Amino acid sequence: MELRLGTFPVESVAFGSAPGWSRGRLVVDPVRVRALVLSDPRIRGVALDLVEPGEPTRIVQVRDVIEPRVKVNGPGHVYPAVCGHPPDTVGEGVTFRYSGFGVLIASEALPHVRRAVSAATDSLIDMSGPGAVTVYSTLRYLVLTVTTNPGLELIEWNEALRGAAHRVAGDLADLVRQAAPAAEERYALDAIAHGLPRVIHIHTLNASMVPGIGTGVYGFTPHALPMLLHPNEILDGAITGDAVVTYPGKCSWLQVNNPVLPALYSRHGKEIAWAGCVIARTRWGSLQEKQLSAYQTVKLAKMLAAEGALVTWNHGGNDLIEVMLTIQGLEQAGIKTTFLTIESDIKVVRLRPQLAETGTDEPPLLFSVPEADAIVSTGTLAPAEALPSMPRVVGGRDLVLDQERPDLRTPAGGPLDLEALSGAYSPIFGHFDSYGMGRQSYDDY
Amino acid sequence: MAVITALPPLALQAGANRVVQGVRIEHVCGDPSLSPEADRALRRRIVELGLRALSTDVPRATVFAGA
Repeated sequence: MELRLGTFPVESVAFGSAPGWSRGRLVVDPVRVRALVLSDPRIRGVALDLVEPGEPTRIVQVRDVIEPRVKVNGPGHVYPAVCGHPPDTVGEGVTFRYSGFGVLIASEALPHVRRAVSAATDSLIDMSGPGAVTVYSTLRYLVLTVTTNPGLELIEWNEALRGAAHRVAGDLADLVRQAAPAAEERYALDAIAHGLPRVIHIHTLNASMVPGIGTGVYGFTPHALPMLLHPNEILDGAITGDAVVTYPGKCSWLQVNNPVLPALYSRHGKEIAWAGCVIARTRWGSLQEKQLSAYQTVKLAKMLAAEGALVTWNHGGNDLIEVMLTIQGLEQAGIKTTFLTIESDIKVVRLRPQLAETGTDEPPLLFSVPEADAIVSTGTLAPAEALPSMPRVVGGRDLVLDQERPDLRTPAGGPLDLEALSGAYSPIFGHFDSYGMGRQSYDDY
Repeated sequence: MAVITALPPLALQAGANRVVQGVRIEHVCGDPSLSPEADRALRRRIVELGLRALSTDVPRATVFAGA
């Protein structure tokens, strides 16, 4: 399976009537975008905004971010099996993408969605200031602030929102179908000489306890036993987010930009022999299911003759049990295992010097096993200070920062003292930075 | 003290000494997929196991399962 990924960097974005990409400048036709969004009768209105890094801007009610990609040669469709795309296996041929740019869909959770899904929280991205610590503060965006029919049930609401985002992203990616990319990278797990340690990426992904939503693999969202993916499938969008569960910032953009994939590729054939990615779903409801998932993941790693494993995760809470049981099983099978994780709970706690040195009374990880003895920290959820007010707010007007108090609305322009205001979850989109893309480590502070 | 939980490993790590295996995270002390009668019987068995755990001396942290 060989994939050539052509990159079109986006260094500026503007609205205009002649859409296209040229030498880093992307022109978006607002009339066309509006028509694409409103082609779904479930959507009543849309506002369009362009947002740049470094601006005094706060984007709120972030529901998903899509990196525009298009399959220009080879089988299948990028972001397969979602939003009407066919389910053909992807990962081969030529795919073009914009870098540094996302189509961002913003929409406040409908009241009944808020009640049904505790993780359908309000979120924000600060493009400058002390809250601009995540990778999402570094991108350029076309923000689609969507108003839906208020009676949409959960699944319909999710489909309407992400369908709009994918229609627009696909249309923008089509603009470069015939163009020459600024850079092209070849990705293949070439057979290599013996002698290098075989390494597996154990790519654990939360599955929602609420049916029909959550991170999907080829659009398949339910809890399922582990499966093997070629990393090229992930680069072609085989893993996508939804428009509902937003608090850890596990959007579709993140999946195709997961830094673990290029990091392992760059070492393949030099330091390691990469055996691919085992996708293991997390957040099973019973201990026996957690054990079964962990044990089957370990079995796959053994059958693939792995000698080393890099374990990643993308959620919090009870998901950690099956992650830790997997690490335990891998180590007991003689597979040296490293775990990449954010090192704090999901609640915002302001960083103080003594906290940075000693931690809190609570363990940084909810659950651990003695075999998890090689952990790489990506940092913590701790803005150094309260978020200042922002002159420009895009995506909504105010925020519910504590799902337990849905009637308590805070003006989105701030200032926002997250430690005082937020409930169980940090509203900073991407704050749960489990792959280390932001500036949240001790060194960064 | 006894704790009924879907996730005994967490309870043990938190220092609980009598841990009773519940059903699932979504419904620790019962099972709505059962008939009302069977659910009620299950809930009673879990609570009774909890009471048995409470009245049992435990030299070390112990999981009570099989309700």
